[in-house]
Amino acid sequence: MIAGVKTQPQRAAPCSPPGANEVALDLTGRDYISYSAISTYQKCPLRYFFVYLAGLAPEFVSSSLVFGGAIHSGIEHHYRQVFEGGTPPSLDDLVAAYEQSWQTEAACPVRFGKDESRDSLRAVARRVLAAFQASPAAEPNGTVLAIEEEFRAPVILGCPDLLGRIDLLVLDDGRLRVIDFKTSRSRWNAAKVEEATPQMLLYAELARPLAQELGVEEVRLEWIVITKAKQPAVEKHGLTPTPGQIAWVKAVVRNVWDSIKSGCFYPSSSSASCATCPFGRACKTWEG
Amino acid sequence: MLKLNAGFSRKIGEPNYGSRGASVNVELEVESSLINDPEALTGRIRKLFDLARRSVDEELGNTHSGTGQPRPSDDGRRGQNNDGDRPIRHATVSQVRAIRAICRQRQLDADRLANDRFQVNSIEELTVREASSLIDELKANQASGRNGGGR
Repeated sequence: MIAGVKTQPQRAAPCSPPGANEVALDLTGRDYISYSAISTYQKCPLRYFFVYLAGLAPEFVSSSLVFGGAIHSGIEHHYRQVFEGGTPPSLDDLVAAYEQSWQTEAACPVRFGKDESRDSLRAVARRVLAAFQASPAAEPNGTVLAIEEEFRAPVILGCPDLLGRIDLLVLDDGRLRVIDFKTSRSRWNAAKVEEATPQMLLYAELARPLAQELGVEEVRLEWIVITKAKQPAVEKHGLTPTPGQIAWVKAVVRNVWDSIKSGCFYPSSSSASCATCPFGRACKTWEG
Repeated sequence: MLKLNAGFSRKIGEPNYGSRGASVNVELEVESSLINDPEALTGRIRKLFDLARRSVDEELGNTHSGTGQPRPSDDGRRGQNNDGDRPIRHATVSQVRAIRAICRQRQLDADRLANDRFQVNSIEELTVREASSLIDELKANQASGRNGGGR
Protein backbone atom coordinates (compact mmCIF):
# COMPACT_ATOMS: atom_id res chain seq x y z
CA MET A 1 0.00 0.00 0.00
CA ILE A 2 1.28 3.47 -0.74
CA ALA A 3 2.19 5.20 2.51
CA GLY A 4 -0.40 7.58 3.81
CA VAL A 5 -3.28 6.13 1.83
CA LYS A 6 -5.91 4.40 3.93
CA THR A 7 -8.64 2.41 2.31
CA GLN A 8 -11.89 1.12 3.68
CA PRO A 9 -12.62 -2.53 3.13
CA GLN A 10 -15.57 -3.50 0.97
CA ARG A 11 -18.18 -4.88 3.32
CA ALA A 12 -20.79 -7.48 2.63
CA ALA A 13 -23.94 -7.78 4.71
CA PRO A 14 -23.11 -9.22 8.12
CA CYS A 15 -24.32 -12.80 8.41
CA SER A 16 -21.80 -14.32 10.79
CA PRO A 17 -23.39 -15.95 13.79
CA PRO A 18 -23.84 -13.35 16.46
CA GLY A 19 -20.73 -13.03 18.49
CA ALA A 20 -18.04 -14.35 16.13
CA ASN A 21 -16.64 -10.91 15.44
CA GLU A 22 -17.02 -9.94 19.09
CA VAL A 23 -15.14 -13.04 20.22
CA ALA A 24 -12.32 -12.15 17.83
CA LEU A 25 -12.29 -8.59 19.11
CA ASP A 26 -12.05 -9.76 22.72
CA LEU A 27 -9.26 -12.21 21.93
CA THR A 28 -7.13 -10.33 19.47
CA GLY A 29 -8.27 -6.71 19.49
CA ARG A 30 -9.50 -7.18 15.88
CA ASP A 31 -13.06 -8.09 14.93
CA TYR A 32 -11.94 -10.15 11.94
CA ILE A 33 -9.42 -12.77 10.91
CA SER A 34 -6.95 -12.71 8.07
CA TYR A 35 -5.28 -15.45 6.07
CA SER A 36 -1.97 -14.25 7.45
CA ALA A 37 -3.19 -14.97 11.00
CA ILE A 38 -4.49 -18.41 10.04
CA SER A 39 -1.27 -19.26 8.26
CA THR A 40 0.83 -18.07 11.19
CA TYR A 41 -1.12 -20.33 13.53
CA GLN A 42 -0.69 -23.29 11.19
CA LYS A 43 3.08 -22.79 11.11
CA CYS A 44 3.45 -22.27 14.85
CA PRO A 45 0.57 -21.71 17.31
CA LEU A 46 2.91 -20.04 19.80
CA ARG A 47 4.13 -17.59 17.22
CA TYR A 48 0.49 -16.73 16.52
CA PHE A 49 0.04 -16.13 20.25
CA PHE A 50 3.04 -13.79 20.37
CA VAL A 51 1.92 -11.77 17.35
CA TYR A 52 -1.85 -11.61 17.64
CA LEU A 53 -2.63 -12.07 21.33
CA ALA A 54 0.42 -10.92 23.28
CA GLY A 55 1.22 -8.17 20.77
CA LEU A 56 4.97 -8.72 21.02
CA ALA A 57 7.19 -6.77 18.66
CA PRO A 58 9.39 -9.06 16.54
CA GLU A 59 13.13 -8.99 17.20
CA PHE A 60 13.74 -8.41 13.50
CA VAL A 61 12.00 -8.55 10.17
CA SER A 62 13.34 -10.56 7.26
CA SER A 63 14.66 -8.68 4.27
CA SER A 64 12.57 -10.79 1.91
CA LEU A 65 9.39 -9.66 3.66
CA VAL A 66 10.34 -5.98 3.45
CA PHE A 67 11.55 -6.44 -0.12
CA GLY A 68 8.31 -8.12 -1.22
CA GLY A 69 6.21 -5.39 0.37
CA ALA A 70 8.28 -2.64 -1.23
CA ILE A 71 8.04 -4.25 -4.68
CA HIS A 72 4.28 -4.42 -4.17
CA SER A 73 4.30 -0.67 -3.55
CA GLY A 74 6.15 -0.05 -6.81
CA ILE A 75 3.68 -2.20 -8.74
CA GLU A 76 0.72 -0.58 -6.98
CA HIS A 77 2.08 2.83 -7.94
CA HIS A 78 2.19 1.75 -11.59
CA TYR A 79 -1.40 0.53 -11.66
CA ARG A 80 -2.79 3.48 -9.74
CA GLN A 81 -1.15 6.04 -11.96
CA VAL A 82 -2.50 4.39 -15.11
CA PHE A 83 -5.94 3.73 -13.60
CA GLU A 84 -6.20 7.33 -12.47
CA GLY A 85 -5.71 8.64 -15.98
CA GLY A 86 -1.96 9.20 -16.00
CA THR A 87 0.77 7.82 -18.19
CA PRO A 88 2.73 4.79 -16.93
CA PRO A 89 5.32 5.96 -14.39
CA SER A 90 9.02 5.76 -15.16
CA LEU A 91 11.27 3.12 -13.68
CA ASP A 92 12.78 5.77 -11.38
CA ASP A 93 9.28 6.52 -10.07
CA LEU A 94 8.68 2.84 -9.31
CA VAL A 95 12.03 2.58 -7.52
CA ALA A 96 11.14 5.71 -5.53
CA ALA A 97 7.87 4.03 -4.43
CA TYR A 98 9.90 0.94 -3.49
CA GLU A 99 12.29 3.08 -1.41
CA GLN A 100 9.49 4.92 0.34
CA SER A 101 7.85 1.65 1.30
CA TRP A 102 11.13 0.22 2.54
CA GLN A 103 11.59 3.18 4.87
CA THR A 104 8.04 2.83 6.20
CA GLU A 105 8.02 -0.94 6.61
CA ALA A 106 11.50 -1.46 8.02
CA ALA A 107 10.57 -0.07 11.44
CA CYS A 108 12.47 -2.78 13.30
CA PRO A 109 15.91 -4.19 12.42
CA VAL A 110 16.03 -5.91 9.04
CA ARG A 111 17.76 -9.28 8.91
CA PHE A 112 19.53 -9.62 5.59
CA GLY A 113 20.47 -12.89 3.94
CA LYS A 114 23.99 -13.92 3.11
CA ASP A 115 25.72 -11.46 0.73
CA GLU A 116 22.68 -9.19 0.91
CA SER A 117 22.49 -5.51 1.81
CA ARG A 118 19.98 -2.74 1.33
CA ASP A 119 22.01 -1.49 -1.65
CA SER A 120 22.23 -4.90 -3.28
CA LEU A 121 18.48 -5.38 -2.83
CA ARG A 122 17.83 -1.94 -4.32
CA ALA A 123 19.66 -3.10 -7.44
CA VAL A 124 17.58 -6.27 -7.51
CA ALA A 125 14.44 -4.18 -7.07
CA ARG A 126 15.35 -2.07 -10.07
CA ARG A 127 15.71 -5.17 -12.22
CA VAL A 128 12.48 -6.71 -10.88
CA LEU A 129 10.47 -3.54 -11.50
CA ALA A 130 11.98 -3.09 -14.97
CA ALA A 131 11.00 -6.67 -15.81
CA PHE A 132 7.47 -5.99 -14.55
CA GLN A 133 7.20 -2.82 -16.66
CA ALA A 134 8.26 -4.70 -19.77
CA SER A 135 5.90 -7.61 -19.17
CA PRO A 136 2.28 -8.02 -20.36
CA ALA A 137 1.28 -7.89 -16.69
CA ALA A 138 1.87 -4.12 -16.73
CA GLU A 139 -1.07 -3.75 -19.12
CA PRO A 140 -3.66 -6.30 -18.01
CA ASN A 141 -6.48 -7.16 -20.38
CA GLY A 142 -9.91 -6.21 -19.14
CA THR A 143 -11.33 -3.61 -16.79
CA VAL A 144 -9.48 -2.90 -13.57
CA LEU A 145 -11.89 -2.75 -10.63
CA ALA A 146 -9.60 -2.57 -7.61
CA ILE A 147 -5.93 -2.11 -6.79
CA GLU A 148 -4.47 -3.15 -3.43
CA GLU A 149 -7.88 -3.01 -1.84
CA GLU A 150 -9.21 -4.61 1.32
CA PHE A 151 -12.29 -6.80 1.10
CA ARG A 152 -14.12 -8.03 4.14
CA ALA A 153 -16.96 -10.52 4.35
CA PRO A 154 -18.34 -13.26 6.61
CA VAL A 155 -17.34 -16.11 4.33
CA ILE A 156 -17.06 -18.94 6.87
CA LEU A 157 -19.91 -19.91 9.13
CA GLY A 158 -18.94 -19.72 12.79
CA CYS A 159 -15.84 -17.61 12.12
CA PRO A 160 -15.29 -13.87 12.30
CA ASP A 161 -15.36 -11.86 9.08
CA LEU A 162 -12.46 -12.56 6.80
CA LEU A 163 -10.33 -9.58 5.78
CA GLY A 164 -8.04 -9.77 2.78
CA ARG A 165 -6.10 -7.34 0.66
CA ILE A 166 -6.43 -8.15 -3.03
CA ASP A 167 -3.56 -6.91 -5.17
CA LEU A 168 -5.49 -6.49 -8.39
CA LEU A 169 -9.07 -7.25 -9.40
CA VAL A 170 -9.88 -7.29 -13.11
CA LEU A 171 -13.10 -8.01 -15.00
CA ASP A 172 -12.01 -9.70 -18.21
CA ASP A 173 -13.96 -11.62 -20.80
CA GLY A 174 -16.71 -12.76 -18.46
CA ARG A 175 -14.30 -13.67 -15.68
CA LEU A 176 -13.35 -11.91 -12.48
CA ARG A 177 -9.57 -12.26 -12.12
CA VAL A 178 -8.12 -12.08 -8.62
CA ILE A 179 -4.43 -11.35 -9.15
CA ASP A 180 -1.63 -11.68 -6.61
CA PHE A 181 1.95 -10.51 -7.13
CA LYS A 182 4.84 -12.51 -5.72
CA THR A 183 8.60 -12.15 -5.77
CA SER A 184 10.54 -15.37 -5.58
CA ARG A 185 14.11 -16.60 -5.60
CA SER A 186 13.27 -19.11 -8.30
CA ARG A 187 10.54 -19.92 -10.76
CA TRP A 188 7.41 -21.46 -9.34
CA ASN A 189 6.50 -25.08 -9.94
CA ALA A 190 3.20 -26.85 -9.32
CA ALA A 191 4.08 -27.40 -5.65
CA LYS A 192 4.60 -23.66 -5.10
CA VAL A 193 1.25 -22.89 -6.72
CA GLU A 194 -0.41 -25.44 -4.46
CA GLU A 195 1.26 -23.92 -1.42
CA ALA A 196 -0.04 -20.46 -2.33
CA THR A 197 -3.54 -21.63 -3.22
CA PRO A 198 -5.33 -21.57 0.18
CA GLN A 199 -4.91 -17.83 0.58
CA MET A 200 -6.25 -17.18 -2.90
CA LEU A 201 -9.17 -19.56 -2.40
CA LEU A 202 -10.26 -17.37 0.47
CA TYR A 203 -9.75 -14.23 -1.60
CA ALA A 204 -11.90 -15.78 -4.32
CA GLU A 205 -14.65 -16.10 -1.72
CA LEU A 206 -14.20 -12.45 -0.77
CA ALA A 207 -14.57 -11.46 -4.42
CA ARG A 208 -17.46 -13.81 -5.20
CA PRO A 209 -20.31 -11.48 -4.11
CA LEU A 210 -18.93 -8.86 -6.45
CA ALA A 211 -18.72 -11.42 -9.26
CA GLN A 212 -22.35 -12.39 -8.66
CA GLU A 213 -23.50 -8.81 -8.81
CA LEU A 214 -21.58 -8.28 -12.02
CA GLY A 215 -23.24 -11.36 -13.46
CA VAL A 216 -19.91 -13.17 -13.72
CA GLU A 217 -19.80 -16.89 -12.95
CA GLU A 218 -16.09 -17.60 -13.01
CA VAL A 219 -13.63 -16.25 -10.46
CA ARG A 220 -10.12 -16.94 -11.72
CA LEU A 221 -7.10 -16.96 -9.43
CA GLU A 222 -3.81 -15.73 -10.88
CA TRP A 223 -0.30 -15.26 -9.59
CA ILE A 224 2.23 -13.04 -11.29
CA VAL A 225 5.59 -14.31 -10.08
CA ILE A 226 8.73 -12.24 -10.65
CA THR A 227 12.03 -13.93 -9.92
CA LYS A 228 14.78 -12.06 -8.09
CA ALA A 229 17.39 -13.18 -10.58
CA LYS A 230 20.00 -11.30 -12.61
CA GLN A 231 17.51 -11.47 -15.43
CA PRO A 232 14.16 -11.61 -13.67
CA ALA A 233 11.42 -13.68 -15.27
CA VAL A 234 7.77 -12.64 -15.06
CA GLU A 235 5.49 -15.66 -15.15
CA LYS A 236 1.76 -16.12 -14.77
CA HIS A 237 0.16 -19.07 -13.00
CA GLY A 238 -3.54 -19.56 -12.58
CA LEU A 239 -6.40 -21.79 -11.60
CA THR A 240 -10.15 -21.73 -11.34
CA PRO A 241 -11.12 -23.04 -7.91
CA THR A 242 -13.46 -25.98 -7.54
CA PRO A 243 -16.21 -26.14 -4.89
CA GLY A 244 -14.25 -28.96 -3.23
CA GLN A 245 -11.18 -26.75 -2.81
CA ILE A 246 -13.29 -23.96 -1.35
CA ALA A 247 -14.97 -26.32 1.11
CA TRP A 248 -11.56 -27.68 2.13
CA VAL A 249 -10.03 -24.28 2.88
CA LYS A 250 -13.12 -23.18 4.81
CA ALA A 251 -12.87 -26.31 6.95
CA VAL A 252 -9.21 -25.54 7.64
CA VAL A 253 -9.97 -21.98 8.72
CA ARG A 254 -12.91 -23.12 10.87
CA ASN A 255 -10.75 -25.63 12.71
CA VAL A 256 -7.86 -23.23 13.16
CA TRP A 257 -10.26 -20.64 14.54
CA ASP A 258 -11.73 -23.22 16.95
CA SER A 259 -8.20 -24.01 18.17
CA ILE A 260 -7.44 -20.32 18.67
CA LYS A 261 -10.70 -19.83 20.59
CA SER A 262 -9.90 -22.77 22.83
CA GLY A 263 -6.55 -21.23 23.77
CA CYS A 264 -4.45 -24.00 22.27
CA PHE A 265 -0.98 -22.47 21.90
CA TYR A 266 2.30 -24.38 21.79
CA PRO A 267 5.63 -24.09 19.95
CA SER A 268 5.80 -26.02 16.74
CA SER A 269 9.51 -26.63 16.72
CA SER A 270 11.30 -27.17 13.44
CA SER A 271 14.86 -26.39 12.50
CA ALA A 272 13.72 -24.62 9.35
CA SER A 273 11.25 -22.20 10.88
CA CYS A 274 12.84 -21.70 14.32
CA ALA A 275 16.11 -20.51 12.76
CA THR A 276 14.34 -17.60 11.10
CA CYS A 277 11.68 -16.92 13.77
CA PRO A 278 11.75 -13.34 15.12
CA PHE A 279 10.32 -14.49 18.48
CA GLY A 280 13.14 -16.84 19.45
CA ARG A 281 13.91 -15.15 22.79
CA ALA A 282 10.25 -15.00 23.83
CA CYS A 283 9.84 -18.66 22.86
CA LYS A 284 12.78 -19.79 24.99
CA THR A 285 11.41 -18.06 28.09
CA TRP A 286 7.78 -19.09 27.54
CA GLU A 287 6.32 -21.02 30.45
CA GLY A 288 2.92 -21.96 29.04
CA MET B 1 -39.50 25.47 -43.89
CA LEU B 2 -37.12 24.87 -41.01
CA LYS B 3 -36.51 21.46 -39.54
CA LEU B 4 -36.00 21.07 -35.79
CA ASN B 5 -34.59 17.83 -34.52
CA ALA B 6 -34.44 17.14 -30.77
CA GLY B 7 -33.25 13.99 -29.07
CA PHE B 8 -33.26 12.82 -25.49
CA SER B 9 -31.99 9.64 -23.89
CA ARG B 10 -31.85 8.39 -20.34
CA LYS B 11 -30.46 5.31 -18.64
CA ILE B 12 -31.60 4.21 -15.20
CA GLY B 13 -29.94 1.76 -12.82
CA GLU B 14 -31.50 -1.62 -12.17
CA PRO B 15 -30.78 -4.23 -9.50
CA ASN B 16 -27.73 -6.42 -9.98
CA TYR B 17 -25.83 -3.76 -11.90
CA GLY B 18 -28.24 -3.82 -14.76
CA SER B 19 -29.63 -0.80 -16.45
CA ARG B 20 -32.50 0.14 -18.72
CA GLY B 21 -32.51 2.96 -21.19
CA ALA B 22 -34.70 4.70 -23.70
CA SER B 23 -34.13 7.37 -26.28
CA VAL B 24 -36.40 9.46 -28.47
CA ASN B 25 -35.64 11.66 -31.44
CA VAL B 26 -38.35 14.03 -32.68
CA GLU B 27 -38.29 15.98 -35.87
CA LEU B 28 -40.59 18.92 -36.55
CA GLU B 29 -40.98 21.25 -39.45
CA VAL B 30 -41.64 24.86 -38.51
CA GLU B 31 -42.22 28.03 -40.48
CA SER B 32 -39.06 29.63 -41.88
CA SER B 33 -40.01 33.03 -40.49
CA LEU B 34 -39.11 31.80 -36.99
CA ILE B 35 -35.48 32.30 -37.91
CA ASN B 36 -36.11 36.02 -37.47
CA ASP B 37 -37.59 35.50 -34.02
CA PRO B 38 -34.90 33.77 -31.93
CA GLU B 39 -36.97 33.85 -28.75
CA ALA B 40 -39.89 32.07 -30.36
CA LEU B 41 -37.56 29.61 -32.05
CA THR B 42 -35.85 28.79 -28.75
CA GLY B 43 -39.28 28.30 -27.18
CA ARG B 44 -40.23 25.78 -29.87
CA ILE B 45 -36.95 23.91 -29.43
CA ARG B 46 -37.46 23.81 -25.67
CA LYS B 47 -40.96 22.43 -26.11
CA LEU B 48 -39.62 19.79 -28.45
CA PHE B 49 -37.02 18.71 -25.88
CA ASP B 50 -39.63 18.66 -23.12
CA LEU B 51 -41.79 16.43 -25.28
CA ALA B 52 -38.88 14.06 -25.92
CA ARG B 53 -37.90 14.00 -22.22
CA ARG B 54 -41.46 13.33 -21.04
CA SER B 55 -41.82 10.52 -23.56
CA VAL B 56 -38.61 8.86 -22.39
CA ASP B 57 -39.56 9.18 -18.73
CA GLU B 58 -43.03 7.76 -19.35
CA GLU B 59 -41.45 4.86 -21.21
CA LEU B 60 -39.11 4.16 -18.31
CA GLY B 61 -41.81 4.68 -15.70
CA ASN B 62 -39.71 7.47 -14.28
CA THR B 63 -41.89 10.47 -13.57
CA HIS B 64 -38.97 12.42 -12.15
CA SER B 65 -37.96 14.35 -15.22
CA GLY B 66 -35.31 16.70 -13.94
CA THR B 67 -31.60 15.98 -14.15
CA GLY B 68 -28.98 16.57 -11.53
CA GLN B 69 -31.23 15.44 -8.70
CA PRO B 70 -31.19 12.26 -6.66
CA ARG B 71 -33.24 9.63 -8.39
CA PRO B 72 -36.56 8.81 -6.72
CA SER B 73 -35.42 5.34 -5.72
CA ASP B 74 -32.18 6.61 -4.23
CA ASP B 75 -33.03 5.77 -0.64
CA GLY B 76 -34.02 2.27 -1.60
CA ARG B 77 -30.86 1.94 -3.65
CA ARG B 78 -28.49 2.73 -0.85
CA GLY B 79 -27.29 -0.51 0.62
CA GLN B 80 -29.99 -2.81 -0.76
CA ASN B 81 -31.26 -3.84 -4.11
CA ASN B 82 -34.82 -4.77 -4.95
CA ASP B 83 -34.52 -8.51 -5.23
CA GLY B 84 -33.80 -9.58 -1.72
CA ASP B 85 -31.48 -8.93 1.14
CA ARG B 86 -28.28 -8.91 -0.87
CA PRO B 87 -26.60 -5.52 -0.55
CA ILE B 88 -25.72 -3.44 -3.57
CA ARG B 89 -21.96 -3.26 -3.73
CA HIS B 90 -20.93 0.29 -4.28
CA ALA B 91 -17.92 1.38 -6.30
CA THR B 92 -14.59 0.16 -5.02
CA VAL B 93 -12.30 2.58 -3.20
CA SER B 94 -9.92 2.36 -6.18
CA GLN B 95 -12.68 3.42 -8.57
CA VAL B 96 -13.73 6.34 -6.38
CA ARG B 97 -10.10 7.47 -6.13
CA ALA B 98 -9.63 7.19 -9.88
CA ILE B 99 -12.75 9.21 -10.71
CA ARG B 100 -11.78 11.91 -8.25
CA ALA B 101 -8.20 12.02 -9.58
CA ILE B 102 -9.24 12.28 -13.24
CA CYS B 103 -11.87 14.91 -12.44
CA ARG B 104 -9.31 16.89 -10.45
CA GLN B 105 -6.92 16.84 -13.42
CA ARG B 106 -9.69 18.07 -15.68
CA GLN B 107 -11.10 20.53 -13.13
CA LEU B 108 -14.47 18.79 -13.06
CA ASP B 109 -16.78 18.42 -10.09
CA ALA B 110 -16.80 14.65 -9.65
CA ASP B 111 -19.94 14.42 -7.53
CA ARG B 112 -21.86 16.71 -9.83
CA LEU B 113 -20.79 14.66 -12.81
CA ALA B 114 -21.96 11.47 -11.10
CA ASN B 115 -25.22 13.20 -10.27
CA ASP B 116 -25.75 14.34 -13.85
CA ARG B 117 -24.92 10.96 -15.32
CA PHE B 118 -26.45 8.58 -12.77
CA GLN B 119 -28.62 10.72 -10.46
CA VAL B 120 -26.69 9.89 -7.30
CA ASN B 121 -25.59 12.25 -4.56
CA SER B 122 -21.92 11.33 -4.66
CA ILE B 123 -19.46 9.09 -6.44
CA GLU B 124 -19.47 6.73 -3.47
CA GLU B 125 -23.08 5.83 -4.30
CA LEU B 126 -22.27 4.60 -7.80
CA THR B 127 -22.38 0.88 -8.43
CA VAL B 128 -19.20 -0.86 -9.59
CA ARG B 129 -20.49 -0.98 -13.16
CA GLU B 130 -21.54 2.66 -13.16
CA ALA B 131 -18.17 3.72 -11.78
CA SER B 132 -16.41 1.62 -14.39
CA SER B 133 -18.42 3.17 -17.19
CA LEU B 134 -17.74 6.68 -15.87
CA ILE B 135 -13.99 6.00 -15.71
CA ASP B 136 -14.04 4.72 -19.30
CA GLU B 137 -15.93 7.79 -20.41
CA LEU B 138 -13.58 10.19 -18.62
CA LYS B 139 -10.53 8.45 -20.04
CA ALA B 140 -11.98 8.47 -23.54
CA ASN B 141 -12.65 12.19 -23.28
CA GLN B 142 -9.16 12.69 -21.89
CA ALA B 143 -7.62 10.82 -24.79
CA SER B 144 -9.64 12.68 -27.41
CA GLY B 145 -8.75 15.96 -25.65
CA ARG B 146 -5.07 15.09 -25.83
CA ASN B 147 -5.30 14.12 -29.47
CA GLY B 148 -7.40 17.12 -30.41
CA GLY B 149 -5.22 19.56 -28.53
CA GLY B 150 -2.01 18.36 -30.03
CA ARG B 151 -2.96 18.45 -33.69
